[in-house]
Amino acid sequence: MVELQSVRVTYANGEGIDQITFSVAPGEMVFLVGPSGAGKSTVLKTIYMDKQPAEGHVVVGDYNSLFIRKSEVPFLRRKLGIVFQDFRLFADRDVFDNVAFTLEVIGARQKEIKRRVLRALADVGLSHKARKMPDELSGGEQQRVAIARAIVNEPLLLLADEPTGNLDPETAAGIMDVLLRINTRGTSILMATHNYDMVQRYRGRIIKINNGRLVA
Amino acid sequence: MNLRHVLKETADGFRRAWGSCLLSILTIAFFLSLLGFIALVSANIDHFKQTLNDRLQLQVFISGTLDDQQIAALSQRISRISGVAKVSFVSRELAAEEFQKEFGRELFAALEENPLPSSFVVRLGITGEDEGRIKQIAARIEEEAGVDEVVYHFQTLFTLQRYARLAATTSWILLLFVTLGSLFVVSNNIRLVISARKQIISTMRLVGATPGFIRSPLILEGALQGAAGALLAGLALYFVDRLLAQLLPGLLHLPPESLIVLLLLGCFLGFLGSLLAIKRYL
Ligand SMILES: Nc1ncnc2c1ncn2[C@@H]1O[C@H](COP(=O)(O)OP(=O)(O)OP(=O)(O)O)[C@@H](O)[C@H]1O
Ligand SMILES: [Mg+2]
Repeated sequence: MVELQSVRVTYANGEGIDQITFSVAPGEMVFLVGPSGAGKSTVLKTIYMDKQPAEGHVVVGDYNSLFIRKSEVPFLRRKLGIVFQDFRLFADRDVFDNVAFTLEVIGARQKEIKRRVLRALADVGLSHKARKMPDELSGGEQQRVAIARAIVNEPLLLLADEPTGNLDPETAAGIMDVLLRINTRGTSILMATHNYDMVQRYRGRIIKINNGRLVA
Repeated sequence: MNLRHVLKETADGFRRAWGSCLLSILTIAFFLSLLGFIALVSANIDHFKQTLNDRLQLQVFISGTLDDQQIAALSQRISRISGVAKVSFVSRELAAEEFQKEFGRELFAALEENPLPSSFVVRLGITGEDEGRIKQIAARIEEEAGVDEVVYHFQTLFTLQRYARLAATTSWILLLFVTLGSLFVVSNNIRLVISARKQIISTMRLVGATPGFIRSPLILEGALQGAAGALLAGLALYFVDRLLAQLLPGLLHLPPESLIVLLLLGCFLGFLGSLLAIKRYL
């Protein structure tokens, strides 16, 4: 479903990733673990095709990095959900509208939007805060909103780049519970983190990366 | 793509940079009313010129020593000159009659004898566009034997022509300024909106928003600015038009279609301005 084959990305300063090969099967939970600067975010970027591999290729569903046209990238991203360490919510609209945005982009109808947004908010346990603004929420709650926004369109794969990085351990554990619950219901997840200890406590496959390369 | 979203985002863009948006609307309004005003002036000059053109004629006084045959021959020669449309003879007697009609019998009676020479009234077959040409024809006629003097009253026309040319040049230069100025203010405003929304726009891209989805509110905002500016300009021109009509009755009015042209021009400028900003900054 998602597959990286001998992927290399080099930045101008010579750093980057090389010979990255792995795949994520439907319904799988995968942790991409490595120290800061190892190349985790870069790997994710090749999956949502923000970066083109200099060598190798990435396959996401029907899309292949070798053949994808620039105009198709938005449509590829609609098949993915993406969550970041810094939440990236729209500060100017409330929780409901933040989550609804993903569906507005694809031109869903209002009734449909309402139904699915409420469901996604229930999935992350925030139904009661639908009309709050982002700055009225705790960090953990904001991340739940971001997760709801990422899953509301039922993506092939949820990409999470250090989703617990800004949170204290307890709140982080809450976010992990949400992610695992979502995974249990069938959404595959690829989560990048430097926190090896935390990841070990959860079920899921671990892929280690260091200095831009996979570690056996 | 849904309209609700586009309108919401457009309103949001306005909120984020309303000062520069107003500035850009007012600038466009100012430029367009200036342009409309010049257009009004040059339409009136053209109209007036047309009226004068219809009376484009030379008066050719002829020597009193010519007999009828010579007069007929001279008439022939003059009418063969290129640019001359029609030559009609005004005899001394006819001239005297017209003089009396205009100035009264008494004045004429005081004179010993009829001092008025015979003349031809020469209608030209060209428009008054070409001052040089008219002078050339006059000079050509004056060369004919038997012609004493050629008189014409084209000074107003020539002056008017100069103003008309000035108005035309001014409006072209102005159009250039209007275009550049409007493009500048609109694209500057859209640039501000883009930079205020930078974060949001990058997140939009991550959730799969197409370029069109991101751009259309910006384009709409630019076009609306142009339209708003054009409407204001239309309003201003309407009042100027009314005022002028009261001061100088008989002036031409701005035709209603010109408002539509103004509106289209405004929209187009706004559209182009935001397109420029998008190409550069998005
Ligand atoms: N835009 C960029 N320009 C230049 N070099 C970059 C860029 N992004 C990343 N790099 C370099 O590529 C390498 C991998 O970076 P990446 O962000 O993928 O690491 P990471 O594992 O996500 O680190 P972190 O845990 O700190 O987020 C690093 O050495 C980094 O300096
Ligand atoms: Mg990173």
